[in-house]
Parts: sequence; structure tokens; C-alpha cells
Amino acid sequence: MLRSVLFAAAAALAAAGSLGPHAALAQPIRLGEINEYKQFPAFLAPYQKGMQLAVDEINAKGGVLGRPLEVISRDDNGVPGDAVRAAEELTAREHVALLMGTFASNIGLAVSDFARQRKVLFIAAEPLTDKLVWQDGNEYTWRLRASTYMQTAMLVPDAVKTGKKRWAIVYPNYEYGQAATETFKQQMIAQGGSGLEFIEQPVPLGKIDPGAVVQALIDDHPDAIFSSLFGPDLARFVREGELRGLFKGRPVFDLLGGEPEYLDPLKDEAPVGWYVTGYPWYAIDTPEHRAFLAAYRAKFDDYPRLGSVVGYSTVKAAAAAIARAHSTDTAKLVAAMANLRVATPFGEVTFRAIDHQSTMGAFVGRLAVRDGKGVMVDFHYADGKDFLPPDDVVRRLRPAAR
Amino acid sequence: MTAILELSGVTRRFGGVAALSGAGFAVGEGEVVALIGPNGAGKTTCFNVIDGTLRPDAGEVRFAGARITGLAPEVIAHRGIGRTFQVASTFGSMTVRESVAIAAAAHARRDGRFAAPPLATHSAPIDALLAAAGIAALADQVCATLAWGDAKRVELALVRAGSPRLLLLDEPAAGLEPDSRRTLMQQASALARNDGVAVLFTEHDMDVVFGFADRIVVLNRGAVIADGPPAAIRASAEVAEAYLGSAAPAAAKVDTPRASPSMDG
Amino acid sequence: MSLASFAVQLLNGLASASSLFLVAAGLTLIFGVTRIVNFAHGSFFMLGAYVGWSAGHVLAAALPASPLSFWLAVLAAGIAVAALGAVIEVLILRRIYAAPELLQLTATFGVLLIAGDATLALWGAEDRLGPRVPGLSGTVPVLGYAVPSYELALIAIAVAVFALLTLLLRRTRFGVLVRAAAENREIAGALGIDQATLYTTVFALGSFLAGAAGALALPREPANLGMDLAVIADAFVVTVLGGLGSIPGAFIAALAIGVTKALCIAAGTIEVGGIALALPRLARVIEFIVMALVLLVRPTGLFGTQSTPAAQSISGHRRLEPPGRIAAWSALALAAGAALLPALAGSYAAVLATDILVAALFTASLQLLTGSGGMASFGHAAWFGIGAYAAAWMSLAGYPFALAVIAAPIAAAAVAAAFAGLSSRVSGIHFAMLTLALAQILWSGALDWEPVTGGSNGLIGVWPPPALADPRHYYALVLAICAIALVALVAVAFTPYGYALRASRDAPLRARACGIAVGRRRREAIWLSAAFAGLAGALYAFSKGGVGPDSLAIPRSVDALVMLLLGGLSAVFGPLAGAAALTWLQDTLARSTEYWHAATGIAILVLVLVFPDGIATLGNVARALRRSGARA
Repeated sequence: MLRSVLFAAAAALAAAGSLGPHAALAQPIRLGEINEYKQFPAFLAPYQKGMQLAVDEINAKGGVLGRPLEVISRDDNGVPGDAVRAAEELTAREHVALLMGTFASNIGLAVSDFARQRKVLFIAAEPLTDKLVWQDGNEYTWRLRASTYMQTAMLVPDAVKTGKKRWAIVYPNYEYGQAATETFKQQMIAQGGSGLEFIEQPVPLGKIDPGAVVQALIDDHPDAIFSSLFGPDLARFVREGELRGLFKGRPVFDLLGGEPEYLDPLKDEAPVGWYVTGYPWYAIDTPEHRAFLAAYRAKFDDYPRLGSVVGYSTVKAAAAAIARAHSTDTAKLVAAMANLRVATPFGEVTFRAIDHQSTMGAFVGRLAVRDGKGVMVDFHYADGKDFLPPDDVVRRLRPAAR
Repeated sequence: MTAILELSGVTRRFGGVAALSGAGFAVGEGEVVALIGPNGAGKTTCFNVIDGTLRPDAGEVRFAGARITGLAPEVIAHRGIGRTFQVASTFGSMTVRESVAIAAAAHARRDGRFAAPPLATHSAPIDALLAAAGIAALADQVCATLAWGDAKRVELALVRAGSPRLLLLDEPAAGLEPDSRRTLMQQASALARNDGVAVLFTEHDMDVVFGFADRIVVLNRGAVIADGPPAAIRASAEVAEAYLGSAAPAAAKVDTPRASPSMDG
Repeated sequence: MSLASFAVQLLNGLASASSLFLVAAGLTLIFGVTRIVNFAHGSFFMLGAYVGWSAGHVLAAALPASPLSFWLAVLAAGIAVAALGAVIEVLILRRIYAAPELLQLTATFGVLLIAGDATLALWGAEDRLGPRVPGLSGTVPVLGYAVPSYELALIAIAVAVFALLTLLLRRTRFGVLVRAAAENREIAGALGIDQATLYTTVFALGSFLAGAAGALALPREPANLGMDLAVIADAFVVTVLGGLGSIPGAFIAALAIGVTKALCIAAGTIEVGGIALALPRLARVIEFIVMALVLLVRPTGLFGTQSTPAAQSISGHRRLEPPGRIAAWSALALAAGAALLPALAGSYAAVLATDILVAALFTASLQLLTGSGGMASFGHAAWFGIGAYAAAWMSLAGYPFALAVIAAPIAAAAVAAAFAGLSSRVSGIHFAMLTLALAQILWSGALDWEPVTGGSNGLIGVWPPPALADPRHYYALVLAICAIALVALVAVAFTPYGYALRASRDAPLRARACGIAVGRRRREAIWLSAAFAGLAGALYAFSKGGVGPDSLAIPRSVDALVMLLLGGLSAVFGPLAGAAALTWLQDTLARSTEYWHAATGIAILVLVLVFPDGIATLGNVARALRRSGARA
């Protein structure tokens, strides 16, 4: 993409300015990045800004191993085959040190399998599927973002606390929604005990029929609702559900509802009281985040979304791996990923050696409306490391770890 | 003379209207028969029933002694019935030579061969067919670009490539110059005289009908009202009333060709 | 489910049906009259939503708390999109009416790409939730349920639009012309209709309806960049299910789909003979299932007639010229160049060329069906996907690579033969939609049948054996297979069978009267074509290391059509030229600009306008120029 080439050039210039002629001559280290820019622009536009901020920060401090970083981005158009072709191109023609990125789970898995086949490091940024690190996990693939399992598990304690027994689950009918549903049921039973009932309502991704779905849920007379909807489906569900009184007197949980990407479009109609995971950028008061927020706002005159944090942290993770490996050699990079500590706006996270999952967490809280905008309140940071299964279970789930 | 085509009691309705009701007649080997009648008498429906495009609601069609009622058009074509359409239909995207070649290949039941050498378009039999139809000069012209009269000649060549024993010609002379009319009808007559091919044709032009038919079958409202040699038909009061009316029998009447919903092309 | 609940679910279905009808009514008008397969209709809907959103904001500031602001915004959206539609018709579509009908689909696909990027540039990536309508923001109690009053209003609007359109078509001269044009172009011409003006007017009217429908959707869903594709397939289904050009048909079809969908959702999971059926999962494809069932019983839709032009084979075919000496030498030179490619241009060139070859084979298989056979297919990905899944499944089950590659075309051909038998009464655009229905049903099946297909993630770990692991080696194999297959497909086109197929397309009655078994030839074309598409799918799966539902999805089918028409529907080098052009364009543009969809769309429009018969006919153009030069 033009934008990435431009910012890489700008980064190189910045590096040249700060380090003098010697560093300017150094060949940049190229990071190959692949994403579904056309399919998920609401998430990925801020994500790209996050990457840019990280690259600029790193290069301003002299780059990595004395060389500037350069991100080369490719748009895979949401097609796994195109992502694999982009991966081929990045490795064969651009000679990138590693691959990173991807949003959708099917794309993440395709690139992950490519990484295994061609023996190149892949840092998956966003795909949530548990399979990426468990069933289909491989030596070369590591993931930054908290998985479907982890995010679901973060909501379960509050769900258990409601004491509700009869749960309606509404989810987008593909792997992410199915996995969230399965994990929720399984975790609720594990932590909430007996007498639980679950009624499922799968909806086609991007094409929810909100009136019929909301009424079907009302007719199910659930005590509470768990949803993994996001994007336009979520907005339609919220509007229709509020109007028809579905949420009255029922606790509602939504897996991604606190992410600004999906919360902000709702404005003053954000559903008050919902339990969500998300990113309350306006209220996180840690030094790491304050610095990130200030730098982001200064650079883009905009506030960060969750995508910004993911993009920023992915580049930081790649840089940390290269620095730790003192090399761009794949074997050394893969070795460096194990137990790699990376400073992110959410604090330090670790890429676990056992399942290649980072411990990046998420913020768990409830929705409220303030100044005509949806916000998260009463939130806390749920550290990812606390929401992963015990090691022996992980080993059972991950053939590559045995 | 043995009959090669026999229709008996053929009825075909469209909605509530009977286009044919109990029509029956026969055509003998080597005989040239004209099927006439006013517009809407059921001539084209009759052709469509004979060649299998339409299934009759009642009645029977026999060809060469066998019942062919309800068989598919391609099966009937292979039995030996060839036809032309009111609006000459050719294979628009092909050259004349290619069209005749595929018609000949279809006749030889080679049209289903896909693991085969290319269609032979330059062969003696095909040259002969082109020459016989007088269209050798048009061989490399694409059919969609053919003039009206040329298309009629090409279509006749396509039909002859199937070596039919019965030729159904639907208004063969319509829209042609008098010279071309004569040439085309002479071709058909020659086929009947020399090769024993039976010819059944419809025509509005009474010069052509009375000039070339051995026998005339008159349809009115889906039924045969007269069947006999030209002289007898000319003398028949019933025909005069139903069909010829007060108009001069020999007044050539050339219809503007029109598309009917059941036709392609 | 109580009776009250059932009744209210019917009402919900009606509300969904209403918005569906509003989109589809415009499409059926355009489709029925101009025969344009307007792929951009969904984009018009989306643009209507965004324009409505912006206009709503401006008007709400001017007329605070007045319901007028919303309705004026709807009108503004309709008018703006109608103007855009008219401009597109005049500037682009009018220039290609003489070309094969599907070329207009290609052009509107270009428009779709441009519209998507333009919307992103103008309104940004974030979803835009419109305000609620003043006066209609609450609910009305119905049988104990709270039903949003806006949804009741939507039903009323749909009925009103239906009545107005019916009046327009039945009681005005314009309506007579529209109906005449929808039923028979020749008659329309004979009536002395100014075709250009009529087409522009109809296109603008259809666009107006789409734009207004988009703005009317705002109170229920945010304006978002996925609206175009989300609505387009459903709109086509309603149009075809109802019968092309039939407004009552579209109305009833929309109702049937809306209500069936609502009832599926309401029914939840039911037990049939001990098997749990999650009916809500069917919501994804129920419209295609309904359409397929109707088309199998009534091949022209509920209100369609056989004499409708679109019920017949697509027309406007040029002669498929047998390759001469020049073509043979060019092919040889091309093959030699292709063989040397990895050595000259490196490993990524081999990867890109593999994609081009696979796409060319896939497109060439469509050329047999749509070019020679005259049967348009909107769901050709079905065969590609079956082949890809079959090969992937065999490979993961441990069968040798060669066996997996061989199994793919067999699996695709077997399913295609069954499909061909079932669909033999369906022709023209209806056949195209039936193939789309099949592809969509398979796609949905692939998403749901997780144990076998891997669900939405698909199957991974499908790589060729180690000897072919290097992309350059795999490319050499693909080059050999595709070269043979492409030559075979060209050869088939000039066998007696190929000519018989084209004869069946050009003049089916004439062909039958010549003894050609038209129906059988067509059924053979379906499974033959599927076999080659399946082979392409297998080669694709092994080049990508896996397969997913995207291999069965609409964009892949559209790609094949676009590549075929870009390259040349009736040109032996058409598929290769089209596949190379589009794949290379996308690869290059995606790397050079953020708005690469728009750039691709513009390139498609330019190519379509400059080479309406396809870029592979470039040679013909050169020849014609030489001839005219020699004459001068």
C-alpha cells in the first residue's frame, strides 16, 4: 500500500536525521504485513496508524540492530488464497524478516500454515480463533491478541455472579461465534455449576434479521443473554432489542461490545449496563497507556481504537523479537519469541512458550452513556495470563506442544 | 404409392383454442404435397407436431410405418424428417461451411464426440452439399450476416445434410424474388423426382402451390377440409368459401414473415 | 411458539420483506427492461444509505425534531442516486448494449468496485448509525408484543410503492412502453420506442428506488461498507424468483423470503427423526433454497413467462475462430516463455503465474459453458470449490497427491451431472441463478459441515509433496497441466461436439431439427465444464496450502465471469488474457494504492469500453486496421 511505503520512507528519513549518515546507509529491516483492509476498515485503519506510530518511535530511537524498520503492507482482500500469495511475495521478493498481521481467523490460519510450510515467523495480530495456537498451532506462529477463549473466559466470572440459569446465546454463525458460544457454555458449567440452560440463536454474519431474532429471544424467556455480535449486526441487534424490550430486566454480555470500533457508532444508544470486553482509552490511567495516548493524539489528532493498540503492539513485538535474536534469521527469531516480553500500551505482555499465545489482556467492564457517547465504566484490566487453561490442558489441546 | 407420413386425428390445443382438431392426411414417398389454409389454420402447429417440437393432445403421427408421436425432434430428425422454418434459422455464429458440416456430423451421429479430431469442414461431401444448394460462394460467410434469401438456401442445405426422406418446408418461397422462388422449389421438386424424397410444404403464394404440388391438403381451423390434386382443390366450393373466398385464387399473396413465439432465430 | 408469537413473527417477516422489496423493485425494473445484470444495484442501496445519513444530519439541524427531515433525506438520497444511475447508464452502459449481455455485468462490477472505495473515501470506515425517525421511534403493542412503529411504517411504504409502481406500469404510457420492452424488444422497437431514453429513465427510476431504500434502511441498520454485497444477492433472488420485470412477482417473492426467514429464526432448533435441525442456520441461504425449489418447478419464476427474453440463452455471440498458424505459434511462444519465467523473473513470478494459470483454466471452463454453450453461470465457483475441497480432503486423508488431483474433476463432474439432470428445464438467466443457488447452498454447507470442511476456517495443511514444495516446481507442474487442459478445452470447442454445442446455442430448434440432441449436449457441457473447473480448484488448493468457503463464494464466481468477458467470450485466448489481465492488475494495484478496488474498477471499465469483444480480440482489431490500411 502506498501509505505504508510512504511512512516507511518517512521513517527512514527520520532515522537518518537522528543517527547521521551511517545509519541512513543501513538497509532497513522489512516486516511483511498482511491484512483484510477492504473487509474490516473500521478496525484496520486505526490499526495501520498504530503500526506507523510504533515504527516511527522505534526508528527515532535508532531502529533495531542499528537498522531502521520498514513495514510492507499487503491487502489480501479477505481471501485466504490472496493472503498466501501476498505472503509468497513478501518473502520471495521483499525478503521480509517475518510475517505479521491478519484479522480474520481463516486468513490467520492460512498464513500460519504458510509460515509452517515455508519456515518463516508469523506474528498473528488479531485473529481470535483458538485453533491458531491450539489444534492447528505450529512452531512458527505466535499470536498477540487475546483469543476467543480468553475473552469469553474474562466475562464468565461476572456472568456466574449474576446467578442466572437460563441463557440465550446469540452469535454470528461462523467459527468465532461458535467458539465463543462453546467456550461460554463450557466455562459457565465449569464455574457456575448445575441447572444451567442454554438456548442458541445463530445469525448469518453481517445479515442479522433483527426483528425476528429479537422476538425469538423474547419467546425463549431467557434470564440473561450472551452475545458475540459485533459491527453492523450488533448495532441492529441493540436498536431492535432496546425497542422491543428484550434487554429489560436481563443482564446482557457482549464479547467485543466495548471496543471503540463497535461501540462508538452507537453513540447515545450504547446499551447501558451491558457487560463487555473492550478498550476504554479515555480512562486507562497507567504510565504506558498515558504515553501511548499522548503520542497517538499528537501524531494523528485522533483518539486510538483497539486496532491502534493491536497494530502498535504487533510492531513492538516484532522489533523486540529481532532485538532479542540479534538477527533476522528465522530459527533465531522463533527462539527469541519464546517468553519474549514486549512493552505494550496495556503493560508488558509475554509470548508464552507453551502455546505461543501472548498474555495481552482486555478491559472488562460495563457500558454507560456519557456526553452522548458510549463508554465503559467500572472496568478492570483482565490480564490474559489469568484466563488461559492450565498447562496440562493446553498440552492436550495443542498437538504441537506434545 | 406407399404413404411415408400419416397423420390421424391429431389434436393440439393452446389454452382453450384448438390449433389442430382431429387433423389427418398422408404424404406418399416422392410426393410433393402443399399444406394450405388461411392464417391460423394450424399449418405451423401441424409441422411442429410432425417434427416433435409439440406433443399432440390426441391423435397419431406415423412415419415410415412407425409411430413417432411424442418423440423428441432430434430423434425424429434421425428417423429422416427434415424441416425448414418460416423465418429461416441458421447457426448465426458459424460460417456456412461449418454449419453444413455440423449438420452432416449430427446426421452421422457424431455431434456428441468431444474427445475427437476437429470437425471436418473441408471434405468432398460437404463441398458437394454446398454446390448442390448453390451456396458454394457463401461457404465462408458467417450465417448471422446472410441475406434473407441466402439464409433460406443455407437452411435447405442444412436440412439436406441430414439426407431426409421427408422434407417439411414452412413457407419456403416467402420473401423471395420470383426467380429465387422458382430455383428453391425446383430444388425441392428435383429431390422428390430423383431421390424419392417426400416434400410437404406450406405456402401462401398460390402460383407456387399450384405450380409445384402434386397434391394439396387444405386446413381450416385445425381440420382438413379438402385433400386432392390441384385441379380438384381449385374446383372445390368448400375450399373456395373457407379459404380462397372471393379473392382471385391465383393472386400471389406474400406475407410479411413474422416471428412466432415457438420459433428461434 | 404461541399463535400470537407466530403472528408477530409473520409481521417481522413482512417488515424485512418490505425493505427487500424496495431494493428488488428497482432491480427488477432495470433487469426486466434493459436486461442489465446490474451488479452495482447494491452499491446504489449503500450510497443511498450514506447520502441519506448525511442529508439527514444537515436537515435535522435545519428542522430540529421535525419528522420532515428524515423523509426529505430519503427523497434526497433517492434523487442523488437516480442522478448517478442516469449518468452511469449514459456514460457507460449505453455504449455496450450491442456487446454480449454479460459485458454489462462486468461493467457494473467495475462500478461496484469504484462505488465501494468512493464511499470509503467520502464517509470513512466507521459505521454510521442514523437517527431514529421522529414520530416513529417508539413501538406499538401487537398481541402483547412491542413492535417498532417504524417497521409498520416500512410495511405501509412498501405497499404504497407497490401500488404506485403498479399504477405507473398499468395506467401510463410509460408503463406500456416498459412492459412492452420487458416482454419483447422487437415489439418495443416496432412500437417506435426511443430505446435510449426509455433505458435511461428506467435505470434512473430503478436507482431512485435503490437509493431511497438505502436511506429507509437507516433507522434499522447503520450505513456501512458491507451493505452493497449484503443486499445484492438477495435482490437478485427476489427479482428472479418473482419473474423478471414483474413488480407483483417481486412483491410476493420478497414476502415469501422475508416470512420464511422469520419463521426459520422463530422455529429455532427442531428435532426431525432424532436429528436436531438448527433452522436459524438456514437463514443464511433460505432465499436460495426457496428460489431453487421454485425454479425447478416453475423454470421462469412465479410470474415470469417463457417468452421473456432473459429466459432464453444469452445472445450476441461472435464467431469462435479456429486458431490458425499465428495462434498456434503464439501459444507455443507463450508456453516457452512461461516455462522460462521462474528462471528469468524469480520465484514470486512463478507464484503469480500459478495463480494466473489456475484462473485461466477456471475461466476457460466457464467459456465452454457460457461461451460455446450459451449458458451463463453466476455460480461457477461451485465446481471450483467442490474440486478444491475434494482434493484437500483426499490429501488430508492421506491419499497421494496425484490421486487427490484426479479426484477433484471427478467429484465436480459427478455433482454437476446430477445438477444438470435436475436443471434441464431451466434456461437463460434463470439457469444462471440456479447455479448461483447451488453455489450458495454448497457455500453454506461448507460453513456448517465443520467436521468435513473445517467450517469457516476451511482446511489447511494441503501442500503438494516435498518434490513440488518449491513454488517454482509446483508452477512447472501447474503449467504443464494447465497447458494441456487449456489446449484440450480449445480443441473441444472445435470438435463436432463443440460445434454442436454452439449450434444448440445459436438456434436450438434448428439444431434439434438437424438431429442434435440439444438437451444432452448442454448437460454434457455442464459436467465437462465442471470437471475442468474442479481441476482448477484442486491446483488452487495445493498452491495455497488449503481451501475455505471463499472458494465457493459469489466473488469467485464473479471473478470468472469478469475475466471471461474482459478476455473475450468468443476468443480462444480470451480466458488466458482475461485471467492474466485481472490477476496482474489486482496484484499490482493492491500494492500501489490504498484505493485499489477503485483503480481495478476503472481499469475494468476502460477495457470493457475499448474492447467490448474482449482484449484477446486485440489481434482482430489489428487485423481489421491492417485491412483498412491496405484498402486505403
